[in-house]
Amino acid sequence: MDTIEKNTLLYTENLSKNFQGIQAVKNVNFKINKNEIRALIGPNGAGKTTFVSLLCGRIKSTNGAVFFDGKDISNFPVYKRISGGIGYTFQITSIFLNLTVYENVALAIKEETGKTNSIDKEISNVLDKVGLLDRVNQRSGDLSYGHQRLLELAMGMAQRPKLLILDEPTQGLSDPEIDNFKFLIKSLSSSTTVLLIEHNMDVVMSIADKISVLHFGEIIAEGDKKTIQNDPIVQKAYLGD
Amino acid sequence: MDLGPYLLFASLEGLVHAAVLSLIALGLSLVFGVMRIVNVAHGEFFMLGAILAWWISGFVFGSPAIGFLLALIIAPLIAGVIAMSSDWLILKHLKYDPEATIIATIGILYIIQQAVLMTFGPDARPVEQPFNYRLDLYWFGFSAYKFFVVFSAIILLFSVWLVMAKTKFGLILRATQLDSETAQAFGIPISTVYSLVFGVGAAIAAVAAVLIVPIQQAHYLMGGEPLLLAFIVVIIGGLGSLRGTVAAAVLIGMSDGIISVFFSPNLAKIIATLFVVIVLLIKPNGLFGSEKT
Amino acid sequence: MKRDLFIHLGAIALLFLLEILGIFSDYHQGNFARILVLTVYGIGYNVLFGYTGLLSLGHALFFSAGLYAAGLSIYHLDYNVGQALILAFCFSVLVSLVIGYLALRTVGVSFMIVTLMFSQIAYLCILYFGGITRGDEGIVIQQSSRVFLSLDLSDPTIRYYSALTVFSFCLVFNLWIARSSFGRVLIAIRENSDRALMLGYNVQLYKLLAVIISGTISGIAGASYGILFGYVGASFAAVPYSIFPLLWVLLGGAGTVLGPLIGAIFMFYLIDYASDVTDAYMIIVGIALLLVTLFARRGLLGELRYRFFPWIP
Repeated sequence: MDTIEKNTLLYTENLSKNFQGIQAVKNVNFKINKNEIRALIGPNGAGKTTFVSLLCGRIKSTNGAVFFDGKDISNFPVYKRISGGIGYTFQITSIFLNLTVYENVALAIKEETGKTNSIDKEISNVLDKVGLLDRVNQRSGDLSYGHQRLLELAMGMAQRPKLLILDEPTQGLSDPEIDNFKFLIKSLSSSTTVLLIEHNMDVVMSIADKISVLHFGEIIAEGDKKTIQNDPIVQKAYLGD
Repeated sequence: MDLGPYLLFASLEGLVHAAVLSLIALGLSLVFGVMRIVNVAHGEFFMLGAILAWWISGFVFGSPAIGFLLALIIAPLIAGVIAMSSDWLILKHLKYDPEATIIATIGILYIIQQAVLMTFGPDARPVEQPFNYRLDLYWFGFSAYKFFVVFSAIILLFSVWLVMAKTKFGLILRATQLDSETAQAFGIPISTVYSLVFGVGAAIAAVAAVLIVPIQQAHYLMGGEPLLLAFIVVIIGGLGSLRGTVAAAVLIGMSDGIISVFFSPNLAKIIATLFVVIVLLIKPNGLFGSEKT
Repeated sequence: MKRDLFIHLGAIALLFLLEILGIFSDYHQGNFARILVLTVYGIGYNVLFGYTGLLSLGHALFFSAGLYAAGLSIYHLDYNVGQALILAFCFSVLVSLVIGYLALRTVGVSFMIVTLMFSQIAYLCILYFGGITRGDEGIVIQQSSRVFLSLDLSDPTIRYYSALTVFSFCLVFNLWIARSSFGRVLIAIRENSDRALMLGYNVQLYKLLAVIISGTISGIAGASYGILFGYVGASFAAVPYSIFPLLWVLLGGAGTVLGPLIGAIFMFYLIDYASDVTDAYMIIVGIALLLVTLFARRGLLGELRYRFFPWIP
């Protein structure tokens, strides 16, 4: 295992999850550095969503430990991990459909930020970035699918997480929408660390600093674009699928 | 009477309670297992079975056994048909949304209960036992009919198990329970299955009522208590688990019967609830329930 | 956003005006005093069901906790009204904390079943300890004990104003919750509790707080009812009293501040009328429950909010 440097934001030690005898995640040792954009790829059913769910605590691990920002968070409940600085956006759009765009983002902003004025400013700020400012009072259920995905991302940004986990954010989007997403995610890396689960290789290759490949619950390869593209094991895993 | 025989007597009473309760809770659990809904009106279908048994036996002259047998066939049929039509008229249109369904079945509860009050009046109605034979158990005599109740319940429980485990209909039910959408994709007529299950659940409660009514009398408010006990049973046994339901029903029924004989029926229920509290603290999914992720 | 405040304070002012101008007959004055106290119960129920999205089938437990804490302490311990109210408040907080903690270990339909079960057991306990509670027969609180700040609470006019005062406080409190960020989190839990959790909210804690607020307001309603109308009986702990607030809230609109008032006025007069016609008047409740779930899921104010006035809190 690599050395744990000052620069490390999150790492896991032998993280495992069993579902009724099936090992969905096997002894994963994973490390992500601050301000990195990391892509997590792998064939369907490789355990990607399960793995990130273990990181943010939606699923309890069977074995192993998660360290975040210098602390062992393995036994922290979900809300403590999230308020500690892990943001998570869902694979299937999960927003408050009956609430307005404003209310959705307001919920994502931490209480301590204080006065209504500064919250309003923050909301406008985030919505401006994703381009939803003109829809601030619209019911989010009335938004188009692409806009809902943007709102989901805006909520993740408004949380100001140290680590933002994005579970297939571009799924179902059109090409111009995907380009917009790439740009947004890229612009985030100055202020936060991004862990991105993604199927779209074009997105992965154009924005990820580093790529990890998960296959049958194990990390089979890790490195920059070139390394991954030329890795025979990765090719076999994808072609054999 | 000494304590020993007294305890035996109480246990036999408990056995009768347990038998009837198993049937009622089984109906509730079957409906939840397959349809994922809770039928709050379940106790009223029990009450309906009892009232109908009294009503039917009023038409029959001669041996009370004939009236009883007729009631045993007709009362569950009527209760089942009413249940099926309420599923078809109401629950289906709510798309079995858990919250809306529970509220609607409370509505059905009051409509059935008050309709019975309007039709048959507020009096408690006795039904004659189909046969009157007392077994001499040395220390005390015990009604042979009560043993008949226990055996009938066991046979019925066994048949339900047989249907679920060995028949094609059982297979359809289990498939629907596991994944209703896939089941539908394989050509299983889900809405018919749901109506049938809702009807069968109510009919089982009505059978329990026909069995118990010669001992207990029929009354329009009698549905509340078995519903409470059945709820206690399914929470302890794990909602939707048939095996857990029957095991918990025997446990709660026995203790309910015994404590009722020695102390008071209300105390029995209070103690049963304390047991639920303990179960909730240790295993919130019920003693036999499985953890869901 | 001042119009919502205007409407709710306006509703309170209207209820004061109706009395000041002497528009009520004695009969309707008495009815409305009851309705206002029952609406407080509905407001308490609405905090949990309408705002947080948790369906309880056992709120009669909380109502009767306040009712009996106040009634029994006056009857057996000679507490004055002030002391009885404080005791009822504390007892309601305690009961809702314990019941909330236990019931919230379950989710979904199990939560509904468990609340109903606990409530039924509270009812059976009241019957079982008949030596203290006098069971079904109940206890009557003498007029001489129903005096607060030297006001005779059994006087119809004072009783109406007292009920209106309690109602006004609870309504304004409810409005404050609905507009606060705390209330927004409750609504978020109702709409999508998984997402609320993944935004870092301690959902379980918020739910428990909602049960405590809801249970305590219901307990205050119970205590007020016992003191203002002088009767404490087991029927208030029985199943129908858990179903009534659900029905009021559904009719008026779940998650609206004025919904419970509208629902309570409507059902009170409907039942009042039906019980003159038949003993089986509870059939009205059954039919109303079915109609509202089949055809009017949002209730009156909820429908208005959905169609025309999205700002209604």
